[in-house]
Amino acid sequence: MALTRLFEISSKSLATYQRALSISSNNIANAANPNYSRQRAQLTTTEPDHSTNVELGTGVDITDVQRVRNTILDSQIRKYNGYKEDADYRTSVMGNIESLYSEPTDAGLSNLMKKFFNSWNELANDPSSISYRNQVVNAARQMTDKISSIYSGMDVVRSDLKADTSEAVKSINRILTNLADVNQQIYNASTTGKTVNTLMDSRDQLLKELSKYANLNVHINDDNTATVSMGGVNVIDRANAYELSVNTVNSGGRNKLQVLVHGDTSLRLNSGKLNAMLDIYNNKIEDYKSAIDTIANSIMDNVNSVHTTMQTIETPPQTNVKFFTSYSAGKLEINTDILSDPKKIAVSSDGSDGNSDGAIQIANLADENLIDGESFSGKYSDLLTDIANEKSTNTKQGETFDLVLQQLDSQQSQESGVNVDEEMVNVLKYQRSYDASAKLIKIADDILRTLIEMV
Amino acid sequence: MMQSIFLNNLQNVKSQMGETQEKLATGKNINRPSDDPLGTARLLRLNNEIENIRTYNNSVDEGMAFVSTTTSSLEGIQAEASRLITYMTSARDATKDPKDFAAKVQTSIDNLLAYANTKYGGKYIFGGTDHSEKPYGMDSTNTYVEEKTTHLDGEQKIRISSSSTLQINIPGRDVFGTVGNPPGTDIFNSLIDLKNRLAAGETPTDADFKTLNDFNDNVLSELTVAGNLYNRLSDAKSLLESQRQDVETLMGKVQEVDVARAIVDLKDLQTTMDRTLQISSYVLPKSLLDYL
Repeated sequence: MALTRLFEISSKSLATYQRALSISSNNIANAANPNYSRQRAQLTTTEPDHSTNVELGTGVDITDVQRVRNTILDSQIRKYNGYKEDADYRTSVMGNIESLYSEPTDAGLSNLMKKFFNSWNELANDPSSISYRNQVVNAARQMTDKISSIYSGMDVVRSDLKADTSEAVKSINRILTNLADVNQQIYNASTTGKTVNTLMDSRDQLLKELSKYANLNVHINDDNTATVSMGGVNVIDRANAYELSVNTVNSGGRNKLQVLVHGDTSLRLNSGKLNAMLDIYNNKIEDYKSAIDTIANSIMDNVNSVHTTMQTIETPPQTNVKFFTSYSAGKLEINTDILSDPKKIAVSSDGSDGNSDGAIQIANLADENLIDGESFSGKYSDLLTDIANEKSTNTKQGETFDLVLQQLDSQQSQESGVNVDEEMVNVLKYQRSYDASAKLIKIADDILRTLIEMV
Repeated sequence: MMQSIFLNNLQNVKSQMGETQEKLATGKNINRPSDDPLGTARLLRLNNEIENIRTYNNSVDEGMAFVSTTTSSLEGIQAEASRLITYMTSARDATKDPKDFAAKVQTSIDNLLAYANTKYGGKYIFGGTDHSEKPYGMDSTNTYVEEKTTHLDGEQKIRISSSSTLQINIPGRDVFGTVGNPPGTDIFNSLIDLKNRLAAGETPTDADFKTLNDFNDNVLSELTVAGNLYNRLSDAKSLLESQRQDVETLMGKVQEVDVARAIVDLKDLQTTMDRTLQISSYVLPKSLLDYL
């Protein structure tokens, strides 16, 4: 009957608009939540009544609550997140490494190497002078101390990287466990046909967090669970999370770190924090250390090859005395005999104490091209330029990726973010509709009463 | 969305201001290698140059002082030689007694020995490269002069540039002749011989005069050598000075901050920051809620 239909339609309206209002209020409440995607009520007309020749409508219902989300933006954001975290992490570590060198100040190795070789030049002015000899020893000490401090500083950075890697892997495992959990909940809910908008927000937030660490490949299945592979290796399969671990392996004479899934498959990384950590630990720092090794060994060999042929100013003069006794792992050792007795510095070619031929030859070494066609300072400058370039390139790249991310984030918040103005307009709309429906019920009630009072 | 744009812009401006402020505070363009990798490489090279110039300058100064001492000694020796010639000329005078001049010759010998053993900063200037003791002295029987050290003709070399070393000493043998054992033909032993003959009453011979004149001429020519050495060193010093100025100019170009420019940039950024803050403070707080 028509009147009951009026009641039915209106009461269904009331319920519908109440639910619509609650969706809007949920949006407004989450306006400041960065991980929230706004939800839109899908209002559809219910199936009309075909019992008479004329089709009569039966009202409105909320058939779906849609989550407004651009999944392409999501995957772009994850990609650039990985690039940016990689570049930023490298910038910060390279900054630490760069500061070890104290360049371009007087405390830097470039200046100390120069001062060392020039101290021999000064010794040539008065080879028998003990104070000039002491100056040579001092300059040698300052140079060897700096080499040692740079080397051990880089080892400290390296061990910090190892600790960071362990921490990162722990965090990743935590995220993976959570993700598997959310996947499970999504799966359960989807089998019963419920909408899972909030769970999907959690899922996406975890995926974004994960993307900081490594390059991901995410596939969203039909049931809205996520299948994730990291560095080419499957890590999430529905409700299964595979555990990551850190492993040390010796390769090419160097200790290298690997991140393994399930204890056996290693990740192939090309972006993200883990990539930066492993690359610097396994490759960069070892390269820098080996460059310093080359320079120190060459200084030792070349100085010694002159020094051993010259004579000291002891009585009687000695020959075959080494200036540097050994070099290993950053420690360039000065002959302890020379440290206790500067007369053992050998610069005389004929045994007389005023002969400075050896001092002049050693001072000359700084200007000769003794390492692959470059001088000591040239080789060192190459190393420093490498480090400086690594840092400045990554700084610029980090800034570029940051800009891209800002734009992507801005696009995403336009699409999925809550616009308070829009929600307020919706609220007004729903409120008016609610008022109108309520009024209709009152009118239907009046009509019925009129009808009844007629009798 | 507007909030994040505003924050990002503000962050950008502030970080640029930070960089400019650092440059103004240190006065340097390059405060760490990554500020300018190529510039740093250049700066390191220039720093090395300056350090080299400083060392070479030290060597040149040492050399100049050494050569000056040598020159004074040579001048003293030359004066002594002139005096001797005057004395011997008057000794030839029949009215004088040769014995009176023997003491004068002894004094000259002592003076010459003192000059021959001049020391500068721990080095015997005529001693070659052996500074363990005085190069000239009396022998054990005290009858003649002998060389006390070996390597009297050793070369004392200093390094005054990356490609040049310079010998700064004049070997004693060039000045005094080779002192042999038994006594040789050097000036000391010739004078001892002369003294002995004068004490015995003999007058100086023509050969004696030739010896003295040859010696005088020799000292004069060694003075020229010393003078040339000094000039060479002082030219090197001027060259080093002009090199130093060139390097410092180049360093200034790389490292010195253009203060005027930096301050203008800073003011610019400050204005931008103020504007950003002002506009955002007007736009951000407003929404539909204010009007409902």
